[in-house]
Amino acid sequence: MDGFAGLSYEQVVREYGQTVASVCVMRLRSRADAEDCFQNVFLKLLRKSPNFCDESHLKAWLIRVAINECKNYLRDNRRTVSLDALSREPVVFDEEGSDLSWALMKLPDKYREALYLFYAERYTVAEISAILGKNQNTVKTLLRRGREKLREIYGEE
Amino acid sequence: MEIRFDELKNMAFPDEWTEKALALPEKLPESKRFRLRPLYLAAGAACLVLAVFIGVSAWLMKPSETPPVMPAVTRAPETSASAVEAKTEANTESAAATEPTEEPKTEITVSEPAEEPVTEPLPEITVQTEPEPVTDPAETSCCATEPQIASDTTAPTFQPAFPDGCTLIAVFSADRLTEGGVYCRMLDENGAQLGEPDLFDAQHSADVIHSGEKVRATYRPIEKGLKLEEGKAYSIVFYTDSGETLVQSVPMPIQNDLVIMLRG
Repeated sequence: MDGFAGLSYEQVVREYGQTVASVCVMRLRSRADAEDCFQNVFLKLLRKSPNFCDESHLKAWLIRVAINECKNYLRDNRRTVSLDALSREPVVFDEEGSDLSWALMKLPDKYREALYLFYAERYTVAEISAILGKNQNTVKTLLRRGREKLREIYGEE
Repeated sequence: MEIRFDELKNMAFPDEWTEKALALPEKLPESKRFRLRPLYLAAGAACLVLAVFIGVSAWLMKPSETPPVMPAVTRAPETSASAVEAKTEANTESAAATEPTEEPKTEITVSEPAEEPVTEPLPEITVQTEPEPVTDPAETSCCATEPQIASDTTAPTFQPAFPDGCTLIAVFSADRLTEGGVYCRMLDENGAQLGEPDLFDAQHSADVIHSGEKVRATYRPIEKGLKLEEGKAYSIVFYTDSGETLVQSVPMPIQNDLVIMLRG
């Protein structure tokens, strides 16, 4: 099998599994659903085997595919609600004292995604706009409002 | 208060996920093999059954269709046969030969009655146009763009839930430069805001609106989860990111398939 931007498949999974898992969990809020999408992302990577320019291209592709997978999953399962999703607590974040993740889970998807990509993945506004397919000003607005909402949630608790 | 986002990177997820993902390349060919073979077999069997069915049905239909086909086949060479018939003397046969040639003429005469039904509905249409003016006064505020619906439903009935097709459209010229896009919110009769205070985006493509630019913003309340009640009046406000009102409608009752145009 050909490599992916110079990495083997195993290296890709170990290197970017964390990122893909985070995107899936934050979008779906359910461990089981997120796992399905997580596997689907790497299944697509294997089946399509795209040519990547470099690792950043590979990473952006994985995030984009993960977001699309989650959207498709939510669309296909719109009428069903998993038991995991019903609980208010985050499912996968089991680190002690990780109340940020808990607060993030209370945010709408669009804010959560933008905040995660900006702060955790260290993407720039321009890169986020390319990944999410949104205008840069929209991304800025999402970040600003997301921060405000996060602050409100922290203030409430 | 400082918010640390680094901990998101340390988010734990089970090792099983990684193990399963690593096992995907081994499973991939097998899964293809197991999935595709039955699929091909089923498709092949279905095609075979279909072909047999078509063949048998065609064979069964053939004898019943052949008698009417035969005269049709004999009619075609009638033009050449008529020349042969000219050599023969039988008047009755020639008369019989001329009959089919006249048949198309009779068919043309048959087509005349076909025109009659076309003329028949015409008075019906004029009858339908009569009740339309009766329905017009009922639809005063609605600038409906579907005259067909208006003619079909003589008495417009409003659905209890807000219809999916309802779209609020604001068209106005910006009098100043604004950034951050156009937002929309709905107010009830008392001026109270419906839904979340920051319902995001009015689906305006540009995020920067220059002074004098023509803005067309659309808003679909049903997509925002708003429950609007028939007959009650609502007003719509389109505003900027900074909260400045760009255009606001007067309260107006909601009707089925209503398209509200605001011009500022």
